[in-house]
Amino acid sequence: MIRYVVVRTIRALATIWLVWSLVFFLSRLTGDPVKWILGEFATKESYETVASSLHLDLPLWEQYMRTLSGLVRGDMGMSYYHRRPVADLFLQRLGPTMALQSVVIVATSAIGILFGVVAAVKHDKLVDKAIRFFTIVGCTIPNFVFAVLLIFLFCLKLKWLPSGNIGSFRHYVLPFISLSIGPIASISRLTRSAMLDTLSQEYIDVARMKGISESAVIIKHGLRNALFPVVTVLGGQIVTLVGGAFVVESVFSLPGIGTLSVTAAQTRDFPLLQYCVFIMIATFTFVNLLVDLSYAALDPRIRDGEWATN
Amino acid sequence: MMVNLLEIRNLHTCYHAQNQVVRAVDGVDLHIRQGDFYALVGESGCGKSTVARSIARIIDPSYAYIEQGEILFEGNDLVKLNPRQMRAVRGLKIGMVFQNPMTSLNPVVSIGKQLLEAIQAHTRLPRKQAMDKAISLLELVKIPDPAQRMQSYPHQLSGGMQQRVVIAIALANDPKLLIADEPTTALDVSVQEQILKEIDDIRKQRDMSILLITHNMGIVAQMCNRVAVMYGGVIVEDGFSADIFSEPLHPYTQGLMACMPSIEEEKEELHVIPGTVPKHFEPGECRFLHRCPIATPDCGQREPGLEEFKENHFVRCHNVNIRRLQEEAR
Repeated sequence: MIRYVVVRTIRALATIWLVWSLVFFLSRLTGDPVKWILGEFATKESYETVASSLHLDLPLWEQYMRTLSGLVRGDMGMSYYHRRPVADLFLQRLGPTMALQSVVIVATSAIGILFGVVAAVKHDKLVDKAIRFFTIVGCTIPNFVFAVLLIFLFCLKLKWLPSGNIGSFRHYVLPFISLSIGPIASISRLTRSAMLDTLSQEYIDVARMKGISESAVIIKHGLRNALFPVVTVLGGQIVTLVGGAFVVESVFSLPGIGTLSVTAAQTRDFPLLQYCVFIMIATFTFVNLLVDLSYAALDPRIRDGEWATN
Repeated sequence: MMVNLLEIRNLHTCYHAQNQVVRAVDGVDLHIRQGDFYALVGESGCGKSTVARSIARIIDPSYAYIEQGEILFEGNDLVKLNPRQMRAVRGLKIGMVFQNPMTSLNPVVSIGKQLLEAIQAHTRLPRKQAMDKAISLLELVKIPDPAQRMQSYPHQLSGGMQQRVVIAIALANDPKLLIADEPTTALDVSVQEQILKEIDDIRKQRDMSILLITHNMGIVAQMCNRVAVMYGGVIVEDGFSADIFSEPLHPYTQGLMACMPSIEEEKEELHVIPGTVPKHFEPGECRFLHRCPIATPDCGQREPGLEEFKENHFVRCHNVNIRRLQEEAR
């Protein structure tokens, strides 16, 4: 068990380092930030001054080593434009994103699992068919299309809800809906098939033959086993969700991490972009690590090391 | 006079798939008395498991249903019970053991918890007493170190041990009837016999009845006092096993017996009943017609009924009944 935790943790740290490095080099392919900062008519001297003040005149590997050691020491650097620590900028924008994401993650998993269970229990009945129709729609239409359609309907036509910015909870309704539909659809689809699979197992009949209530059979014996694949995908869902947040935040001009990162990439603000990406990968990896470890907590077979080798 | 614990009258259970209705059980009558070790025999697809599942009403309602018939258990018709009443019967009056022990236990719940759940479904025992009862149940089915095994998970036990746990669960509330649907088919032969012997001992101790679903005639000959042979959704022969084994009447029963390997006789090859159970039967002809070695043109004209050949020995075959009439006339 301890070995399992250690192996998974090392693997998680390696992932963070690899992805972060990838972003470091990829972002430098986008162009020269100094030209962006100074504009077209920069003199040679001013160019050199700015470049050396940002350490952009150093060889690439030296820039990399400096940034990496900064990362390890906890010094994340300053934004090229705002001349403020990137962590400050990040924290400033964290509120709206967190508010949106936390609600989306909790609500989508709860609703998705509920839909999936209901569809599986009412297999081939009308409810199941309705949920299946919804999942196909939800899985095929991308979230930004939903976002635009929702804005068109609720802001332009009905004038019920605002189309952008933040303020009251009303500002979050449309981003929430457009972000949630896809994940709810895919989680409920997965839960449905996992539930159908477990409900056809013999231990379900054994449980039923004990004379316990049908809801106990479905939740204690069915859902508990069906949740394993669902938990795996939930971890992955969080990644897609944050990816979707970039797009949806932009559509609704919500001042969150998504819009901050997009602006950072557009303006070649390397430290800011690296920081945003670093925090996001760290979060994903940590979530996936928790998912892996929760398996061991939930499944005695993994605790015994039967499946621990992948 | 022994009272019937279970009496099935004219049971029809159907499956529907793609707008087609298949009558898996097409008019089955049988009665099990208290203390009987009753075998329901037949090859795969003959409807014997469906009979078992119909009794406990654990057929999947989304595609299967009991079309007509009565299942009288202690005088009450189980078909008419609502789900709540049926739950009170399951586990308490009727226990059931299934074919595959490796998938019969929930993989993420400990043995002890699964047993306790069965015990506490029907009685409000304090935890300590329920634990003791669970341990004594594991002892009853001969599981070594029962107290330690309570914390084990299914994957830590062998198939035979897992099936013993399932049996313990089925016996948790002293049921009157134990339905065992091919309980040892998935286990190796040495374990098969042990487990069946143990079940039989428990039956004797508790005066319980057992309905054993199997296709193994050898087991039936050794253990069971009564047998019904099923073919194509109906019973073709029914009687005491002593009678049936000394004088099998129906050609299908005779075929099944000939399939048994024997130590005394040297056989080059095992007997095989030609063909398989057809999916669909033409109404108005004998169901066994196309595989029957003694079929006559008459068998294609009308379907035979289940008739009493001798006292308590029933058979569904024209030719056998003609033989009986001839013998009587003599």
